[in-house]
Amino acid sequence: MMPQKNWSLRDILTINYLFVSIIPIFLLSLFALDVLNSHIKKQVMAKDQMLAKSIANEVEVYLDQPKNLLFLVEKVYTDQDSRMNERLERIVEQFAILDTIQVVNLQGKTIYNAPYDTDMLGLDVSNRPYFAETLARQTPFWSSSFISLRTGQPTVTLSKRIPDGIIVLHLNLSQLSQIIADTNVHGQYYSCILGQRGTYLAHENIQKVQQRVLEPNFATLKDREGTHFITMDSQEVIASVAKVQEINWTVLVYQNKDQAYFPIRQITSMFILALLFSVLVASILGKSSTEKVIRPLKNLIGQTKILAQGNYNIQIEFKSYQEYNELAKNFNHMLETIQVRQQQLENTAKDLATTNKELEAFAYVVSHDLKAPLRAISNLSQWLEEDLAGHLPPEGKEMLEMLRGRVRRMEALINGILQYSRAGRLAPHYQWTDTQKLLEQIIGDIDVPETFAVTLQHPLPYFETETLLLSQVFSNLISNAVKHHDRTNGHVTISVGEAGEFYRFTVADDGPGIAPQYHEKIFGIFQTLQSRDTLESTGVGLALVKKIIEVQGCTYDLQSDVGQGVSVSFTWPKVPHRDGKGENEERSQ
Amino acid sequence: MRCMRRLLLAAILAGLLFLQGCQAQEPIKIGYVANLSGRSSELGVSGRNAMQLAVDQVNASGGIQGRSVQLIIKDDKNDPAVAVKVDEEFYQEGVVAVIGHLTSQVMEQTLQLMDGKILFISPTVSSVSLMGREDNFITVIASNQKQAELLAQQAIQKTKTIAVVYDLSNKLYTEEIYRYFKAAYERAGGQVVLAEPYMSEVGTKFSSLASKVLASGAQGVLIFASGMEAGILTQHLRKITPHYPIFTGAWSMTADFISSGGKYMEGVYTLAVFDDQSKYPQYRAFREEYMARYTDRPTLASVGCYDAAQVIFQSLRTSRNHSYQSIKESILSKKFDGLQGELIIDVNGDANRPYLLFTVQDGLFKRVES
Repeated sequence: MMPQKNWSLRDILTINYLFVSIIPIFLLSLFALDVLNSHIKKQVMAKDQMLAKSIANEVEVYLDQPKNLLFLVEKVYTDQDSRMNERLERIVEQFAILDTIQVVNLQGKTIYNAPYDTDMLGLDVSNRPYFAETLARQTPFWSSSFISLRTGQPTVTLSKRIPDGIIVLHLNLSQLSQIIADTNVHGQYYSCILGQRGTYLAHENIQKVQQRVLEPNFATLKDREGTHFITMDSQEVIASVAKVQEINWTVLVYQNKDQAYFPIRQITSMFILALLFSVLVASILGKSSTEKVIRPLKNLIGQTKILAQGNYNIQIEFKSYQEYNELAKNFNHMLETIQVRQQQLENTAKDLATTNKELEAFAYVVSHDLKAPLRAISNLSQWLEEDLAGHLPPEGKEMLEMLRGRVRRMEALINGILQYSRAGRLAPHYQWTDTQKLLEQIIGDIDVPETFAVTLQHPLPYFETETLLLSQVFSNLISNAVKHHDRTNGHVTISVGEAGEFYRFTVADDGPGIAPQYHEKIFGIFQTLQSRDTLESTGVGLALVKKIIEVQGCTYDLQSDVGQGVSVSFTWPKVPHRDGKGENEERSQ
Repeated sequence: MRCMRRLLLAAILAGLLFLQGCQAQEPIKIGYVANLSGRSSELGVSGRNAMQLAVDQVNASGGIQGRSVQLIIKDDKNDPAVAVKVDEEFYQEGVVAVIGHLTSQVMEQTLQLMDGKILFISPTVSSVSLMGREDNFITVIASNQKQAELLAQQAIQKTKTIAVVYDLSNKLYTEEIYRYFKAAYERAGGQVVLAEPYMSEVGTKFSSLASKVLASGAQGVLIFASGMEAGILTQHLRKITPHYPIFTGAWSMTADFISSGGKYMEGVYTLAVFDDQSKYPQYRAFREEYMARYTDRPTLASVGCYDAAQVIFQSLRTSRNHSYQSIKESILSKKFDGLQGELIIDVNGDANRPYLLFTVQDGLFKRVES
C-alpha cells in the first residue's frame, strides 16, 4: 500500500490559488484567440480575394480600351477614307497599348497596316491561329500571348471580323505589370497575371514575363476561383484566384501565410504575455496570501512544540483572520486549563509523595514493630517447649509448633507487603545481563527438585536491563511453576521471542493448569487458589510480577486451562527506558 | 566529469551526424542557360520548358540517389558578354553541369573561359569548330557539317544554282554551315550564286532580301534563320515567284515557321533533329506531357534539352562522384536513351545523331525519307 503523501498546506493553497486564477484566464484566452483567429482568417481571405478581383477588374478595364479601339479602326476602315493609312498611324501613335494594326482580307492577305510597313503589306497571315478563329465568330477574338518580333514584349492580338476580312490589333501588354505594381500594397502581396497557357503576362519580376515563364501553380489553380492554401517553396501561402473571363486570363494574388497571419501571432503573443503576467501576479498574490494564512499556523505550531516540551507559561498573540484569532483565544484558554490541571497534578504528586513517605514509614513500622512481637512469640513458644520438655504432651508440642508456623507465615506476609509496596519505586539500576546465566542462578537458588526438568531455549539475550527486577519476575514465575506442580517430575520451559522493541519471555509448565475464571484473580495481591494450610503461600508473588511488568511499560499474558499447564508470557524492553532521572533517584516520590 | 565528457562527445557526434544528414539532403544543382527574352527566345523558352519538365519528373521519381535536382535558369540574352557573366555565376553557385548555350556564337565565347570549371551539354549547338576536341563541351546534336551535307544532297536534286541567306545574329553557326553547305553543294555540281548575310533586327526588310535572291538568278534559296523570319522571307519570295524552291536549316523548324509563312509554305524543305510524328513511346509520352503542361508543341530545343537532361541524370547516377571530371568521364563514349532512339556520345563529347528531312504539306511538316 502506497504511503499517503503528506501534503503541505502551503503547497496546496498555492496550487489552488494558481489553478483558480489561471485556468479561467487560460480558457478565456483560448476562446478569444479562437474567435479572433477565425475572424482574422476570414478577413485575410476576403481581402486577398477582393484584391485578386480588383486586379481582374482593372485588367478588364485595361482591355476595354482596345475593344473601343477595335470599333474605331473598324469605323475608319469602313469609311474608306483616302487618308486611312495616315489615320491608322495616328491611332497607333496615340495609344501606347497598340503595337500594330492590321487589316486582313478574307484570303488572309494583309491589306493595311500601321505603322505602315511595306514589307508586311501583302503578307499572308492565314496560317496565324487568330485568322481562322476570327473568321469563325461574330465577336472579337483574343489570341493567346506571344512575344512580338517588333517590340520583344508580350503581346496579344484582338481581332474582329468585318464584312471583307478581319481587323487585327497587336496589343503591347507591357503596361499590365503597372497594374500589379499598383496593387502590391506594402510589398505584402505578390500578384501576377497569367495568359491562357499560364505564362506570366505581368509579374513584379519583368524577366519572368519576358522569358514566358509558366506559373508553377497554374495547372492546379486555373479553374479554382477563390482563396486557397498552397505550399510554395516549402512555405505555406494563401493564393487567391480571379479570372478575367472575356480573355480567360488568370489573376493570382499570393500572400505569405506567416505574414498574413502576423496579427494572429501578435495577438497570440500578447495573450501569452498576459497569461504569463497573470501567472506572475497570481504567484505573488498567492504566495503573499498563503503566507498570511500560514504564518499564524506556523506560530501556533511553534507554540505547540513549546507546549509539548512541558512549558505551559506561554501565550499566543497575533492579529489575523477572525478564525485564527478565535483559535488563538481557545488555545490560550486551553493553556490556562492545562496550567490549572498541571498545578493540580503537581499538588497531587506532592500529596502522593508525602503519602508514599508515610507509607514507607508505616511499612518500616510494620516490618519492624510487627516483626518484633512475632519474633518474641516465636522465641517464647520455643523457650516454653524447651522448659516443658518431657512434661508437654505431644498435642501441646504440636500446637506450639503450629503457633510458630503461623508466626513465620505472618512474617512472610509482612515481607511480601513491604516488597510489593517498594516495587517500582526504587531507582533503576541497569546492568549488562546474560539471561542464560541469570536463569541458571535463579534455578539454583530456588532449589528445584532433581526430578524436575527445566529447559532453557536458546539463544537467550545478553542485554542491558534492570537485572534485579527481571530476576524477581523470573524467580516468582519459575518458583510458582515448581511449587504448584502436581507431579514430582514436572517440566518447565523458558523461551524468548522478538516483539519489536521488546523481548517476549515465556515461562511454561506442564502442571495442573488454572481454570480461566481464575486467570485475573491470581494476579491480585494475597490471592491464592489453595488454602495456605494446604500450600504455604503469601499470594504476593504474581501480584509483584504484574506490578514490575506494568511499571516497565510492558504487558503479560497467561494461557492456561485445567490440566493444560500454565504459560505466562511477558514483554521486556530491549534497551533501558532512561527518562532523564538519575539511576539512584526513586521513580516517584 | 567523465560522464560530462561522454555527454559532450555524444552531442558532438549527434551534431556531426545531423550536419551530414543535412548535407545529404542538399539538392544537386544543374544549370540551364539560353536566350530567354526578346524576339529570338522561342527556342530558349521551349528548351527551358522541357528542362523543367525533365527535372520535375526526376524529382517526382525520388531524385538522383536520394537527392533532389535543382534547376537554376539563366538568360544569356544571346549576348556573349552576358553569357560569360552568367556562366561565372553558375560556377560560383556550384552547379554540376550546365545545359546550354543554344547558339554557337555564345558558346564559343564562354567555353574556353569555363574550361575545367563548367561542363556544358548543349542541346542545339552544332558548330564544327566546337567539335572534335576533348574539352568541356558536349553536344547531343550532330555537327553543322552533317546538316550542311544533307541539305546540299537534297538541294542539288532540285536546283543547280542556289542563293544562301543567313542571319548573322548567330554568326558562328550560320557562317560555318554556309561554308560546309557551299563546299558540299559545289562538290555535287551545284553553284552558290549568292551569299546574303543579314542581321536580324526590327525593320529588317525581307522584301529587299527576297528581291536580291531572285535577282541573283538562283534557282532556289537556302535560309539559315529563325522560323519566324524564314517564314516571312519565304512569303516575299513566293509572292513574286510561286513554288520557288526553298530550303531551311534545322534552326527554322518551329511552329512559327508555318504560321508566319502562311499558305506560301507548301513544299518548303527543312531539316530537323526530331520527328514530331515519331512513334517512339518515350517521345509520345514526353510530347503528351509537354503539351499538357505548356499547351504548345515541343521544338528542336525541347527535344534536345530533354535528351541532354537525361544524359546528365544518367551520368550523375553512374559517376563516382559529382565532380567535373567524374561526370565528364561518365558521359564520354557512352550510349544514352534519347527520346527518338539511341544517342551516342563519342570520346570528344560529340553526338552522332541523324538529321531528318521534312517538307511542308497542307500546312504541316511531313517527313521525307531520304
